[in-house]
Amino acid sequence: MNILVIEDDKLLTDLIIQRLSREKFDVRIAVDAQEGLKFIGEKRPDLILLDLILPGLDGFGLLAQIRENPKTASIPVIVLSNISGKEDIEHAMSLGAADFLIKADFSLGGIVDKIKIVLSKKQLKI
Amino acid sequence: MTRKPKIELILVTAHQLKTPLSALKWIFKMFLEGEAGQLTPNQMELIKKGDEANESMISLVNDFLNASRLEKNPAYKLEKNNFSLLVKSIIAENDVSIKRKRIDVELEMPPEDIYLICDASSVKMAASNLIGNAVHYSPDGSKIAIKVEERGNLIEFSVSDNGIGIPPHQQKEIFSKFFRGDNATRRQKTGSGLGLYVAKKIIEDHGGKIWFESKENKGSKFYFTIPSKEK
Repeated sequence: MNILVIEDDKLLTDLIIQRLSREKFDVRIAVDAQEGLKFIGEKRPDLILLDLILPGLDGFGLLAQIRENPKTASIPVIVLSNISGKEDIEHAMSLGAADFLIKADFSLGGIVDKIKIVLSKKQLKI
Repeated sequence: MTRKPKIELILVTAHQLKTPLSALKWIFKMFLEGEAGQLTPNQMELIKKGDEANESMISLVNDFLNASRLEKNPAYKLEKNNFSLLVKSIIAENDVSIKRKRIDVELEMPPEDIYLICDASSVKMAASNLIGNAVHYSPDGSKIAIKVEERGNLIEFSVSDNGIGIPPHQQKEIFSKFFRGDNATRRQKTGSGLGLYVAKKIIEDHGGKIWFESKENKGSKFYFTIPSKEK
């Protein structure tokens, strides 16, 4: 499975790569929305892990673009952010996020479990 | 600095702090969950202490964020919510601390579920702060009693403990922002002093009242009421 992580914090991405690679996921890291869109165009990911605060276009804007494009609309996107305001969570879910995870509330093991749940739901749909 | 920019500053700073705290949490949990190799019992104890300290910091930052958000724009979403279920979920979420301290939780509620028109996450936060304090300040092996009852058109929630109580000379200040009792500070250095302030703001914003009875070294009982029907 091919996972695209869109996150600009180096320490967090190092930890995510380490943990997800152990699960045999193929992980790519994009540090902003522009690079994320480029990577999506090059190779369609099975799932996107998306931070909300990014340099340039933020995660909300990127999520909206992914959903508006028929080629990418069905890619499941899990938001992984420390933004935890009720309105932000509702906004991301209304834009079509598959789940909203608050970084400081989860261990990486917990995040992997959530990824597996979303991927298994996606396979059921196919 | 005027009030709004100060709140913005707190929100931004608190948010920035959460990134390194999240990284620390992920690292500690990798060790605790056995994903970073085998540790000696001593090393495991040290990692556990580091994890606990980090969780205290995360909770402190969350308190700042919650208090700032409530002051900036509470954005309550009033809907019909099952209050009985909400109370049970708070107890379940505190299960680890309750078991670790061998606390006996007695829950008394009417058999039929009680519904409230309220902002669920905020009212849950208020009740959770009271239950969390009761667990936190109770001695190991003691009892906490949680009660929900209908009184006319009010729902009354209460939680009583046999904990450290609040010194009489400080009882007037207990709902003030950043206030912590002398005995609480002696017991644990970290703590935001925002939990009760936040609870009071939420309950009063819902048209309710919050109050307490307390005896130092004997325990405390906190109450709140919320109107059960839409105004």
